[in-house]
Amino acid sequence: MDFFQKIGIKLIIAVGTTTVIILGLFTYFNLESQSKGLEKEVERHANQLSQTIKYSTRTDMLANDRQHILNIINTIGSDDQIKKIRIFNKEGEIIYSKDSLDIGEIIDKEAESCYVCHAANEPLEKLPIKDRTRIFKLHPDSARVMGIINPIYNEETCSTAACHAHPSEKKVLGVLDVIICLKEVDQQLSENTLELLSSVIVAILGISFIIGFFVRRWVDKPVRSLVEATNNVAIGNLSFKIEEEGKDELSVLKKSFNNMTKKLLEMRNQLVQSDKMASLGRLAAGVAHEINNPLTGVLTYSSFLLKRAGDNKELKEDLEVIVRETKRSREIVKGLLDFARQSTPKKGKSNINDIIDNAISVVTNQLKISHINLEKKLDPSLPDITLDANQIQQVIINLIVNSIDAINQSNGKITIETSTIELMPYGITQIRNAVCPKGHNLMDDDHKIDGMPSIKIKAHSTSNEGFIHLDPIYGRHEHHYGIHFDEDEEIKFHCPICGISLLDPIKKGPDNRTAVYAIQIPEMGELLGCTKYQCKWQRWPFFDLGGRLGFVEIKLADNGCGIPREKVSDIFEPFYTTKGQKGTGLGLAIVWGIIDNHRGKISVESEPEKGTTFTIRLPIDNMRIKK
Amino acid sequence: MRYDFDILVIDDESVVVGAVSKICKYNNFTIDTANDGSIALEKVKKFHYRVIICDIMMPEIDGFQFLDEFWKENKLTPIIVTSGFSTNENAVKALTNGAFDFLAKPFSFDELSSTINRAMRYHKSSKIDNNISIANLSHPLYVACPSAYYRLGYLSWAKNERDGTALLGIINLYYEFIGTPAELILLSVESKVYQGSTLLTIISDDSSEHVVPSPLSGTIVEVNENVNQNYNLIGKDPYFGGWLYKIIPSDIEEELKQLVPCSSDRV
Repeated sequence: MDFFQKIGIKLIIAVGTTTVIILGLFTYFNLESQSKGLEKEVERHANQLSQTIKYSTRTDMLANDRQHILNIINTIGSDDQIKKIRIFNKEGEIIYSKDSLDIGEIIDKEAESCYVCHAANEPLEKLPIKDRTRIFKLHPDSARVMGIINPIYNEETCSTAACHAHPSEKKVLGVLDVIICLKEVDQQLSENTLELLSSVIVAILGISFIIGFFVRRWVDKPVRSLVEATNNVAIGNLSFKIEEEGKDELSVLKKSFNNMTKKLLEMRNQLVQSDKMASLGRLAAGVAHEINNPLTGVLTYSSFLLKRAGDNKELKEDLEVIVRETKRSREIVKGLLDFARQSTPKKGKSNINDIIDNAISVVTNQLKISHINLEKKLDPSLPDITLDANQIQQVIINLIVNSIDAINQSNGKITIETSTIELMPYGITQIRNAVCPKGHNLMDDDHKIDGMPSIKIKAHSTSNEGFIHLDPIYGRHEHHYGIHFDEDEEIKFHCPICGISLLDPIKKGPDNRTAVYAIQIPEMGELLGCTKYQCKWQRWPFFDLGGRLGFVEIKLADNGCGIPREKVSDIFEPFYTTKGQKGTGLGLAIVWGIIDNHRGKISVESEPEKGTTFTIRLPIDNMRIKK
Repeated sequence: MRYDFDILVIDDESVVVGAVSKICKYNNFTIDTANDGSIALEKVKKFHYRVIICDIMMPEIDGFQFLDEFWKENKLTPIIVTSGFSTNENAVKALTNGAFDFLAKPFSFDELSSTINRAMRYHKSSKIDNNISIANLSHPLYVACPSAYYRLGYLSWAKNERDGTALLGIINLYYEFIGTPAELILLSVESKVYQGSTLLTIISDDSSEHVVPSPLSGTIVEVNENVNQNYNLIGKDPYFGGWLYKIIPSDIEEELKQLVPCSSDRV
């Protein structure tokens, strides 16, 4: 970076220039007044001197003792500081002078010393002291001198003196001119100037250093860390974090920068996910088309054969298996297409236990080959629930096949357990629909939290506005904040479409003070929540008052190789596979999609070398178990 | 009117052509085959067929292009479109392009037979004469659905209600060609339907299944219980008393563009 483009240098130059101008003006006027004062002093001194000369020569003037007058002038004039003492008569002729060579010389009345009085035709007689002094140089390169003229007035004693009488009508008889050297004054002045100038320079340098220090501390350092961070982000390192310290504007910028990279990271992950989904869609389309044509051959020929089998019972039974399983393959392929296109299953009332039995019959051979013991602990009182039997069967088969692949020791064991459980809705119920009081949809399919569409809210903090994506799981509070909030700050909630406030005008939060937001859940009342940042309080009267919810729980456990902890969160991702060339990485992604389409939940617990347990919970329709 | 063949099978997969031919022959239909759209276009110019079965994804001229070209010939033959890419979107696209029905691959003997039989009955009753050009009629059939209704092919209809819901039902013509229904498999309240997904499955007395696709997407809020009690209501009063579901449509504006307004059918 160009040295002069640096913000610190620019600031120093700006402040320095201002200081130079202000201090320069101050110094100028200060020196000006100092020199005026000194000159005044000299002027007063010179005037006094000229008066002294005038008074000391008075008697001799009256006596016309020329020699004595000269002596006095010479004695006084012997001082180095006094350059000239001259007395002119009215005609301008020098009568007495310290320098004897001057005597008899006639000074032009137009000359500078006479000009003051003789400018007008009729000469002036009385002059203020200021006009009687003048500062000039005797030679261009000599020191400055000050001249003072002192008119000698006619007095009674002069006109009546015995020796020589001046006519009584004359007012001014002559002029005493004293010239004093200003060398010392000038020296003093230049010393003062030097002193002031040096202190000004020291002041400017000092100010620059102080500014430089603070700019480096408050601007340079944080800006450098921000530049480093942006460079990191530019090369794709979105997990780079700036150390947050201080509370000034740049610290706020740092915080919001960190927040931004966090959001970018989340968004990139989502983009990667949707990218995977898109390629999955293309793959599914291709696979579906390619598989469906040969399947058409199998299904048409086998069903045709079945038509012609006549009374051959054994043949008929075998053909029926082919037809049934081909139709199931058709549903699997359709499911793949549906999954890629996120459509819903074909649902009907079925019993999970029957589906599990069907699924096991499909994989019995594989279990035998791998010498795996399968244990069923099915709850016979399980209620029928609405689901797509083919899809759920596919889920069970996928999970069993996964377990078989995970077991590589001799005493492999898989346990399938079903039961009915009751759970409080808090912390598990997914909000799938939410609107503002004006009926605008608040669900955001583009921003998913844990794979589920979030609730998008426009939020205002004290200094900023942005969006919050609320966790769609009631009571879980994994919200995504788009802007920064202070601890305990109350957030204003608005509809992102129409801007209507989502705060409840009456209801208050857990402390009976905090405002509460109210989001309409169509046909299920409203969701209330605390507006304080970090406050974990939510109420959903529709469910809270309804009591526990009923679920059918399927637990499928194996004693296989397990999943390393850091991989557990990846296993439901499309194209994630541990089977190398053997797997497509789609199995568990499809399982997740199917369970999600059934409004259910699948979770996994695993311990390496001990085994893995998948737990599926499917809601029992309209079944509320009262407290 | 003399027909050269009963059925023309168009598919680039010989195993599919073979299988379909076998089923048709078993049902005593004469068949002709073509393994590409361009060959098929040559053939339909030369010969007359009662029913055409056409695949979508084929090299050179695909199924949709074939439909476009075929309608330019001013022929009114019912065309059954099949595809291995069996998405709801393809079904809707085929039906809006004038297909008689969409049959997803793979299909069984019964599914194909019942669709062909329906097409044959339709062909017979509409008394299509391939020698007559009907220049100003884009769609061959007069469908008696009222003017505020929209239809998906000649299979199902939708009517936008004032309160934001929509009524769904099936076209009378479809019902007429399936024979006597033995069982209706209706969806339940709260289930979701998608444009092109199964709306209703009718099992006729000859035990063949007839699947009707939905004209709109949405969530079912009411099922017409009267229909469940008296199946004939669909046939007798298909547009009023015989409606099937009331749904809350999810994307009615976009989806109506895929449907044909019944008012445009009036001649």
